Amino acid sequence: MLGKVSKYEWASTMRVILPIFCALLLCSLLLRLEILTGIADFNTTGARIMAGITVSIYILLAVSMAAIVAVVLVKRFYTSMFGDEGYLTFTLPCHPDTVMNGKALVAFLWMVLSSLCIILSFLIIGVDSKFLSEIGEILEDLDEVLVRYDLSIGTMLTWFIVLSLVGTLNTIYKVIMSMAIGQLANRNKVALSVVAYIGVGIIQNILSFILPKSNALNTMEDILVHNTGASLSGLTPHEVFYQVCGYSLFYTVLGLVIFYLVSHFIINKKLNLQ
Amino acid sequence: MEQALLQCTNLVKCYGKKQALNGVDLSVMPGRITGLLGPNGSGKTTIIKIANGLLTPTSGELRINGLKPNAQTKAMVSYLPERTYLANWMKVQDIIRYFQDFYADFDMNRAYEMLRALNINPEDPLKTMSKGMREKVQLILVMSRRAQLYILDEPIAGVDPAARDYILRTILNNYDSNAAILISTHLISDVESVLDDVIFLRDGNVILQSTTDEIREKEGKSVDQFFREVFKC
Repeated sequence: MLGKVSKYEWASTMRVILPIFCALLLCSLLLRLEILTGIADFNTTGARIMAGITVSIYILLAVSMAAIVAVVLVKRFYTSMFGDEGYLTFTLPCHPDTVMNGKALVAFLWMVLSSLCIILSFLIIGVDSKFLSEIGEILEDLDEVLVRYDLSIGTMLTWFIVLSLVGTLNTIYKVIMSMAIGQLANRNKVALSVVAYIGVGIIQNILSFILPKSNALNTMEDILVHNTGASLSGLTPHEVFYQVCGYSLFYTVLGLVIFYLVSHFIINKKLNLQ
Repeated sequence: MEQALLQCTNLVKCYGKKQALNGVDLSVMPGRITGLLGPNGSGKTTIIKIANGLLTPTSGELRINGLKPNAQTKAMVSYLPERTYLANWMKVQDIIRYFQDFYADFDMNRAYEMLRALNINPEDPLKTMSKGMREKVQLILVMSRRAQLYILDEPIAGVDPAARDYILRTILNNYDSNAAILISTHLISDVESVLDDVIFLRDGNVILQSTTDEIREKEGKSVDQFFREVFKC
């Protein structure tokens, strides 16, 4: 059933999001063509206008794509779970968690794809063999430096990807939980959802000051915030890196579990479609 | 003893301080078409939503074929809500495939037959259709399932009189005699001819559960006329 729910969710969102991806990649191709043909260097108004328009559209799309995808997904969540379509979705012969997780899975895939799409657009615009060779040299030099501290590009990249992916899931379930809280009200459900989302964010910020942190983060806070003259010299870069990443991952996963459990409880026990 | 397909036992539902259902006891038996009748705000839609797992009761219980509403009961129940619940971007044939995909008891041939009878083009997007046409599509989807319990909330309210007759004939002709149908409606005179049993609801209470024949014999009038007397403002 999860597959079927995801399939139709994908079809529903694809028709809006995919054209945006295509527009961005098409723009990148046009920019690349303009660079290769040197159009922007042509001393004609028309050529310069064309280059200017392409660059503007590309920047607009690249900057707003994440926001557009987020808005589309949030609107889709709300309509299909807590709006009129919820009468269809929550009467399907499957567990309500399947509905929730199917939609979360598709949202997660779109968020990942939108990041990959932006990276691909950069590569289309700027990558050639010379660029690749220079990047390779920079990465090799950087890796040589990092190895001295028992770190590597691969390790840092892996942690970055893991934290990004888990962070994305955390955000998705935070949105679902906020909407689930909002639908508990008899009126002003959307407003309550927004308040819940903001409220959870505030609670997260407060907890970030209260909850135990790594030694590295405590020391950094002493240095940057309290100006106590503390020093990180007692910690190796390896320790700092793993402590910061480890604690970040722990709290992100903890938040994800809490958001999931609260959403699960509300959708299964307190659904209030009106 | 035959098990009720839908059984409410002391069902209570409160929305804050407002009590929508006040200890409702009722049952819908297999092979019967039951009318759930009452004025606006009497609790009909609340019962229906609880039966479909869209609301949770404050206390008491509702069981479908002996089970509390869950994924299994949703496979047994074919539900038509009183609002349009289909995704507007889909075409009719897309939503038919959707139902075919999720419901093992969905009869695609029956669905297309009914679409033809009501002159609905399967390739039309739902967003180009009028409200009445979308309601017809919804009804076709629901009646194309070979479910054990059909729950229809205002199935003919937004539909023209000619289509109403077709829909009521479809309801009669297409449901399994071991299944049950629960119809909630205000248009009692239109559906009276198909009803076996009626349940009258007022302010969250069941004030009558009887067969239509008993009402006609005992009261000497139609169910519609009796309803108007009972719920006279």
